[in-house]
Amino acid sequence: MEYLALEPGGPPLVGLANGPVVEPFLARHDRLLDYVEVSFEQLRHNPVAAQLQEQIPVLLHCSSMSVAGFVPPTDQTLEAIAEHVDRTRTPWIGEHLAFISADALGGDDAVGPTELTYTVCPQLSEETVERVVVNLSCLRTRFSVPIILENSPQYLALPGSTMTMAAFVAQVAQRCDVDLLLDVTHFLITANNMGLDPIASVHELPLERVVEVHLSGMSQQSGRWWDDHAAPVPDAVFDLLRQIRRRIRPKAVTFEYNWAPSMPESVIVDQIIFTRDLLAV
Amino acid sequence: MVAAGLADPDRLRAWRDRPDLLAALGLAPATVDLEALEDFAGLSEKIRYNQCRGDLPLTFRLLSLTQLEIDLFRQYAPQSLARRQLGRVSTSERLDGLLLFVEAWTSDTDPVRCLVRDVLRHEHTIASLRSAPVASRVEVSRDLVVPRHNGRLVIHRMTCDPRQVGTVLRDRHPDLTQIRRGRWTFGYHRSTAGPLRILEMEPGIGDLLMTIDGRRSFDQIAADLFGDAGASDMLHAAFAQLTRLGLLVWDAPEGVAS
Ligand SMILES: [Fe+2]
Repeated sequence: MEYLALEPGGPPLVGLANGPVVEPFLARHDRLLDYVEVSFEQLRHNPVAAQLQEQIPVLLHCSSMSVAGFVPPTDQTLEAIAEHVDRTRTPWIGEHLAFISADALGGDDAVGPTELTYTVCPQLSEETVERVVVNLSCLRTRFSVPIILENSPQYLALPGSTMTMAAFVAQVAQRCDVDLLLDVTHFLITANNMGLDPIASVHELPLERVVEVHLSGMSQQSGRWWDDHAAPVPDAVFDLLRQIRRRIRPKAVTFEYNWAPSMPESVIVDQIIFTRDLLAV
Repeated sequence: MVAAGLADPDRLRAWRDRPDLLAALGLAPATVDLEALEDFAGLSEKIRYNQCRGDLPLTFRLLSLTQLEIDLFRQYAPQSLARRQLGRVSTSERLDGLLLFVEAWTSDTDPVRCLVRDVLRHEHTIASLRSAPVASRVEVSRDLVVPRHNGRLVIHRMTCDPRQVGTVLRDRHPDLTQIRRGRWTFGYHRSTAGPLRILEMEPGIGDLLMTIDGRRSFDQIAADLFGDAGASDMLHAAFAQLTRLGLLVWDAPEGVAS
């Protein structure tokens, strides 16, 4: 089995999120990648995914904890995550600062919670910060490694929100003393959709807490920007990464092309080399 | 409320039609961007279709380049939910559901939607013919000479040549103005032995192939097409040619046209 070795002060590690592009890419360019980021959900539904670690170290990602929600994950789910943490020896668990399940509308307990297939950005408010503080204090006791929190893409103004995404993330980081997974594409999507200057906004984040960075594509449709893990990372995302690099150097950078059935190898190779150069300076 | 809307697009539509339902939930309707929420439901639906991307690379590429992905999946979401509730969630069932929706969503006067529909038909048919058909015997009266398709044959009329569209879309910077438009007829054929073939054909040949149902005899087909005048030599020749191409087989000892 291969395990991730983090060198203190070393250059950032570069990885790919697990999806159809990974296997063919690894077969030809395994030396370009330091790890593959695998989600707990993939490991749970398709245990064969664990075999990847015979080839390359694995970093664990997760979408099941509903950190910013009102419906906690089951004990069984948390135990399963903990098992994968220990088995993969991941240095941290990246989890969304979002929710994936919610109470049924109107408090109808008989119906059971609403389960979503995509993590959803919560209301950006003091109330939600409090919720995250409570949830995270329970969740982090379950694992032998830290949880780091990933900013969500914001597609619309959420009713009851009182602050920007940057302010929300900053408050959560400070109140929970938690490190961050900065999804640069999510952040740019949020800034664009909410009419904010992405560069000014990114400097409002506690960047010194960023441990890992996610990069993926984005698309503009129906007058809004959307996450797109099947499209190449656009220049605007790299521009924002360059801004971030002025202040910090993350430990790991993950390209999320996990929705794509295929992607030209040259695109991934060029972007990995470009990113390594950008972060090495 | 956001989760409830995303999980049930019909509820989103109900809120749009009757804002008082939102007020009953304690929300001022003006504070809820239902348009954006419906688009978000479209994104969620699109993500559910990730499992189909391997079969539909050109369709998704085209939808992305024409910026129609979110809108299409937003409109498809209620129908897709109904199919999910019936348990139709396998990849092939999702492909079928999407094609059904897109056939209805496309108007012949909208060239972009026609292009999407044609590329989807092309990829859907290739996916459905990926595995060879199982040999089957058709019960027919032995005194008739009955032509039928040799294996599976699907005829599509197209406003583009999907193979040429594929060449354009696979470019690193696709130029959609390079897509040629017009009228094409394609036969997608797979016999019990042999690979999938895509044959460009005259529209009349496509029509002829579509009239063959494996039940009517050659004489019946000829009579249906030409009335009392009976079969023309041209029809004999066409059937003979289609048989030589491996598209037809005959269910009686002597093939009229073979
Ligand atoms: Fe991400």
